[in-house]
Formats: sequence, C-alpha cells, structure tokens
Amino acid sequence: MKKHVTALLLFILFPGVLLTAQSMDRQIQQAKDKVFPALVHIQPVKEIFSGGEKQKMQVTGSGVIISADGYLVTNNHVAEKAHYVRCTLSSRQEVTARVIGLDPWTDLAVLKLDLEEAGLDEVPYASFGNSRNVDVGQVVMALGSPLGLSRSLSMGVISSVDRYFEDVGDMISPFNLWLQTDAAINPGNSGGPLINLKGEIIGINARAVVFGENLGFAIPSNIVKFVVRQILEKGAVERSYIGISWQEINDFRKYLHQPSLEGVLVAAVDRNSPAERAGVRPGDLVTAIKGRMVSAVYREELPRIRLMVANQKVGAPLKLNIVRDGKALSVTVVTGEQGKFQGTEFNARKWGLSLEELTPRLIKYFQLENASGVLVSGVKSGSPADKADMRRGDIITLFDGKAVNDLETFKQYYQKATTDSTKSVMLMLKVNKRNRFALIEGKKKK
Amino acid sequence: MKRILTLLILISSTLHAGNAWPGIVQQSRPYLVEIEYYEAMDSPESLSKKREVKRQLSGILFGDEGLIITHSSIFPAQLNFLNASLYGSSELPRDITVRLADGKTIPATFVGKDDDYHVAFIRLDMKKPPRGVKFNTRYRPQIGDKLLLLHLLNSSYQNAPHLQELRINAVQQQLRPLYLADGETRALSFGLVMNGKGVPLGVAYTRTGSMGTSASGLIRMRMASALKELLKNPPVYTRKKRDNKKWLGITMQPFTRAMARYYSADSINGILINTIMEGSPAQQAGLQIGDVITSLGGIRVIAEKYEDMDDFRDRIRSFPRDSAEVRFWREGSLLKAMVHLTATPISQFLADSYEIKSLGFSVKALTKDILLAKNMDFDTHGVWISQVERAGSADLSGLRIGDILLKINNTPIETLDNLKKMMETIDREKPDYISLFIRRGAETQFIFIKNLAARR
Repeated sequence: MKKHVTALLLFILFPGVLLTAQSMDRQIQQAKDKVFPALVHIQPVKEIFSGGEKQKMQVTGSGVIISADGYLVTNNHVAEKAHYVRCTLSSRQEVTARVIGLDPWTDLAVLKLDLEEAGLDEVPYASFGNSRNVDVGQVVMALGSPLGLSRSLSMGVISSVDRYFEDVGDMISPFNLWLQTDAAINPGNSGGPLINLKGEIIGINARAVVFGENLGFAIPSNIVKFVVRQILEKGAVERSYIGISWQEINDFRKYLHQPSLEGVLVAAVDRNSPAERAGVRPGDLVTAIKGRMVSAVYREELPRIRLMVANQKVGAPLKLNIVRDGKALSVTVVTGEQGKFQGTEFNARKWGLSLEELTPRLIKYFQLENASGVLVSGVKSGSPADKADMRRGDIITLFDGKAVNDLETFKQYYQKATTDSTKSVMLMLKVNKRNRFALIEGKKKK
Repeated sequence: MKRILTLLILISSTLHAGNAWPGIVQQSRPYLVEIEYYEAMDSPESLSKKREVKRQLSGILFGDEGLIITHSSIFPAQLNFLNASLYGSSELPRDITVRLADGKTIPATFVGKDDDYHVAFIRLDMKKPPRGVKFNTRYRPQIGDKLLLLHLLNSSYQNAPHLQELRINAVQQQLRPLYLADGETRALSFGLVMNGKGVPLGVAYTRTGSMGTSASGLIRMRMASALKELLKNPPVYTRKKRDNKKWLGITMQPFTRAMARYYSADSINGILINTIMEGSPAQQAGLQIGDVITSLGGIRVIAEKYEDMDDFRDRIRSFPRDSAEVRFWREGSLLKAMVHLTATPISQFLADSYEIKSLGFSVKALTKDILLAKNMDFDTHGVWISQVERAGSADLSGLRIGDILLKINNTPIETLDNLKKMMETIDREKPDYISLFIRRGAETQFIFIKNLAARR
C-alpha cells in the first residue's frame, strides 16, 4: 500500500517539475541568445615594466558589446596598459579594438571595435538591466572565456547583492558594492557579463576567490552604466576628492549609547587635503553633505557616501554638517581632484631602471611629506642602477644635488646626463625614513 | 701487571708523559658548569598565559666571586634598538640553577650580557663560592695556533667532559677579533679554550645569533685578552633604560673610490652620512647629510665596502670617552667637530609596558626600533599595541599588534602615564564601550571595544 502512495506522489509531482524545467530551459536559451552574439573574447597585448625593462605580455579576458557601432565594456585590469587589443566576436570574427577610457576605481574600461577595418557595418549588442532590482536567489548566468575557454556560459543564482570589500593594494572598489554569484567564474571571465533571465546585463564579472568555490563577484550594472556614460562623454570619470576616510557608526552608537544616532564618522583626514584645510578632524560625525542627510550604520553604506562626494564638481564648495563633541557645526570643504590612479611610467634604459610618477595614492602609501621625487618601479639585474644598489621601492629625491620634483624633471636631467656616457651621476634615494646615495657610474674614458 | 703499573705512572705524571689530557681534564673540569633555566616565551597573542621553556647551557666559573660566563642566548632580548626584532620575550631567564662539577646544584641570578661579544654573566647565590678559573689575559693568538677546547657533552652523554684539539683556522679581524676553528661540536654551547698545557685562554661557542643558530663546522673563540674588561666588570642589566653602548645617530654608507672620483676628492676616505636621526648626537654636533667622516677620536676611518662600516660602528659603540673628535669632509673642505656620544636608545625589549586585562591588550612606550619599523618620524612620542589577546575583546573589535594608540575616549595618549591615568578613570566608571583612536599604516581609525569589566 505504501508503495502505491509513493508512486502516486511521484506521478503527481513529476509533470510539474518537467513543466518548470521546460520553461526555465526556454528562458535560459532566450536570455543566452540575446547576449551571446554580443560576447567578446579579448586578448590585449600589454606593455609592462618588469625588472627595470619594458616587456610585452598577452592576457585573456572577456567583454560585452553595448552598442551597434562597437563600443564594448570590460575590466580595467584586462585593458590597462594595453598596447594592442585583439578581440574575437562570438561569430569568431577577429576585430581589433582601441581603448577609449579606463576607470581603475571601479575596474571598468570602455573599448571600441574597429568595425571599418573588419568590414562590418554594425555588431549585435546587449543592453543593461537595472541592478537595483536584482535580488538574492535570482537565477543568473555568466558569459565569457574562463581560463581562455572562449564562449562559455555558466549558471547560478545571486548569492548577495551588497557584498563589501575593503581596498587591498591595487584591488580597490571604494564606490561600489558587489553582486555575488555562485555561477562559476574563473580568471578569463573578467570583463564578461552577468545576465538575468531576461537577457539583460546586470553586472560585469570581475573577481573570484582563489581556492574558494563558486564565489564570483560582479560590478553592478548601474555603476557600469554611469562609468560608461562618463567615459563616452569625457574620456574618463571625473571625481572630486576631499581626503576623508569614512567609518560606519554601528559601534560608535553603542559607545555613545545612542542607538538611533545617524551620520558617518570621520576616521582619517589626509595630510594636506581639502578636508584638513577646512578643519575637518577625525572623530567628527558628519550628518549631512550639501544639505542632504547622510548616514552609514554599516560599512556596506560607505560606498554610497564616497560616491556622493566623488560626484561633486572639482573646485566646488561642499558644506558638511558636523557634530563635534556634541556640538553641531558646519564646515565648507573646497573639493580637489582625485588624482591619477596609476602614474606615468618611464624607462631609463641606459641605467636599467623603470620609474613611476608619484601619485596621491603612492604618497599616502609611502607616508611622504610631499609629492616630490620619483618611484623606482624596477631595476634590471646587472645594470648600472643595480650596481649602485638601487631597489624597487626607492624614491629618487636628488639628481646630482638638484631636487627631482617630478618625473618630467627627472627625464630632463636624465636625458641631459646620458648624452655623455662617461659622466657619473649621484642620486639621493629615500628608503622609508632613511636616505641613501647611489652613484650611477659613467663608462670609463678610453 | 707491569704494564698496568706503567700506565698508571704515565697517567699520574701527565706533564712529562706523552698524554697530558687526563691531567688537563682533571684540573679544568671543576670550572665547567651546567646551567639550567627557564625562558619565558611571551606570546603577542596572550596576556595571561606565560609559557616557560626549560633550557640548558654550559658556562665557565671564573674569579673568586662565583661569577659564571656563558652565552648571551640565555637572555635573547636584543637591547640595542637598531637590530631589535618586534617580537620575543623581554623576560629575564628564570629559576637558574647551576650544577657544579661535584654534582651540587646551586641557584644563580642573571647579571648582564654583552651582545657584541655574545657573552652573558650569571652569579652563584652562595656564601663561599668555589674558586673559578683564572684566565691568562696576555695571550696573543695567531692563525695556526694549536689550542685545546674543553666542554661538557649533553645529558645523553652524562655530561662527560669532552676535550679536543683545534687550531685557529681563521681570524676575523675587527675591533673584537673572533677566532674561528674547524670542528663539528653540536653539543657545545660554551666551552673553555686552553693552550696545550691547559692554561685557560678564553671561551668558545658555536652559536652565532642570540637565538641560537649555529654555523656548521665552525667554533668561535673569544680570548680573555679581549674580554678582560668584561671579566673585571661584568655588564649589569638593570632594566633601566640604557644599553651600555654609545651611538652617533646616523645611517651611513661607504664613501667609495668611485664616489671620491665623482667629487674630485680622491684623497678622501671614510664613511658617508646619508641620514641623521632627530635628536641624535650627530645632529647636535652639526653633522650633515653628505658629510664624509674621515676620522673618529684620532683614528682614521676607511670604508670601501658595506662590511667595513661594522668596524666604525663598533668603534662608536664601545668608545671609551663621552665625547669624540670627528673629522669630516664637506664640499671640498676638511672640518672637525666634537660629538657628545650618548647611550644608544633602547629597544622595545627594555620599554615599559602596561597590560589592560579587561580589554585584552597591552601597550608599550614607542622606542626607536618601532619607529623605524613603522616608518614613522624618529622623534615621535607615544605608545603602541604590543599584545592583543587572541579572541579577546580588543581582538574581536579589530585592534591589531603594531597599531599606534593615539587617543582613548577622545583623550590624547602620549605616554604610558597618560594611559594609566585614563585606565584608572575607566576602571572607576566602568563604561561598557571604550573608544580607541589608532594609526595603522597611513590611515587612522576608531576602534570601539566592549569593556568586559562594565557594570551590567
């Protein structure tokens, strides 16, 4: 009797399962068909400085075409430093592309396919969905070239819609939260689209966890749309900078016994920053920016505040409402420029030295008093610089006793000094808080 | 029977017979002692748990006052700020016991140590200590000299005295000459060096660093002629703020021949000053970056390689007077200045610390070694987090070892006294959360710690 019941249950349930499976399958196929033709396999040839020399390197990534005239989106880490970009469309046609704009702060890049050269009038493209409507549990698909295996599709669900990551080295995402998915994402998926069952791009896949399983992360499409628009209009995303590091107030509330406190805490104020000049101090509670209430109880709310500041016009006054020691006050910060993410590089070939301009990020990282100097990014083994014991991470501050204010100054001195190969040059280096002299020896006169 | 008798005669008349060793062993064995002690293993992750590890060393009893010379690894803390590490124990060796040759076990106390010579001193706690060895301090060693080395094997060989012959195979000439001999002596921690007749000349060890790593196949010897002053007045460790060495407060590099040519100063030899530390003797004497020191206290300085600077550093560290005349070259002219040499700043091992059990961390006063490690200005004052109890309140709130403590509950903390005062208030008022304002790398941030001692 029992057997009969089981059989009956199965019989009733089975067609149901079959039905949903069929419609799901259809949805997947339809969504895939919408985006698949717009999928691009990207193979940029990069020019990087390694060991004090310029070297070429090919990497593999993914991208998705977003307009009929051939604009495509990928990751900054795929397209940065690209000297030449070869793309393969899903039709397997090869087309070259050029970089239109990069945004390291969100890890996004816009490229344009050279349709004319490829003899194409237009290309299929995919369109963006609204990432604000994405929900945990929703079925999604990742398209791209995992480990170089082009035109791959994997499927999963959205695991989280508000994943927050602290900045680590060059892996930064100050302005956005991440969509987390269990759809398989591997290196090579970078820059490929994460799509919903309607065939809309809801994110650009960018990160995965090494040794983790099914932990992939995508930049939400609304951030992508904003960045793309800015790059297309201005060539880059303009962001303003005030020099405040923000901190969530969850624990601050407990400390003050004010469970309904609103605002965001100033954790750090950069040296010589607009905020420091305006008198903002660590410990200030900012309750409104430009008259708009702001609050971050949890750290997931911080990117929104950073974005709000970044989206102000450079040079514009920004009023902050502050509570300091229980008293309300307001200060006006004149916003500054965000500054470069990556400094210009230079290869002092005759010395076996690669150098990098000091950016605000590096100045902060090395805790330098000012911006003068250039960073040694690589030293070629056996070169004059190597013989002078120069190392990656040294900062050149003096050149034959003259101040090296920036990379341009260094270049001028270098070019002048190297016209006579017998001339020796004395450099002063800064290594942490200490200095060191380095003599680049000229060739002995014959 | 006759043979045995002859043998006995041979043994007793060692000086005349071919085998002098039994007599030498018999005569010198009483000076060799076994030392047993406990080393405290501080964990940066635990305030309460103090792990102690039993260790053994050998030493040499010398003089008439019950003093024993042994290896400096008995107290591994680096006292000098320049080569100090961030972690390790600053606790003195505990429960030292010394087993004399007659089997008696006597307690002993730590006296002091000298990291440059790698030797330490302990003293027997007894009224009438047995007489120790008298070193010959007039011996001038030379490469090739034949020597004897006596030491105790470890307990698996019942601490049997072990005598071996060796030669000085290499001489490391420096301010404190080091004599090296080939020899595989893994069991050796500290031994007595004698000449062929059993006259005590010095000490030997295999360990190089204070942490006890040994160079394979090399025995290091220090002769009593060089240790004379230390043996007469052993360094006394008082835990009070001073390394007994002097410093100039510069970092330097060799002024190479190529550099001399660059400056058209071919006749100038010396060391090139590249950094001058805030508040250092060098700064007060008016020395500048780029100056080339050519002589110190009337002795010429020559440095072509980086290793050559060790000698100069050593000379400064053990300079016999408080001020020294420094001659230096600056932009083509030869100048001189009197430098008032002060004591080397202490390392973090000697810094005062303060434990806050209720919050699960301890702090130490900032010392120069920490400032260098943290890339901070050399004249910064303050305190840093030296221990964070694993899974304690502070740990759970995100406090980390190495963080610089700037404020507690909005009150600036610049000294341990500031902190103690603040903690008294906190202990009285028992707030349930405490705010720390800290610096970590280039950033500052707030950390709110739940106070486990808070009133409910």
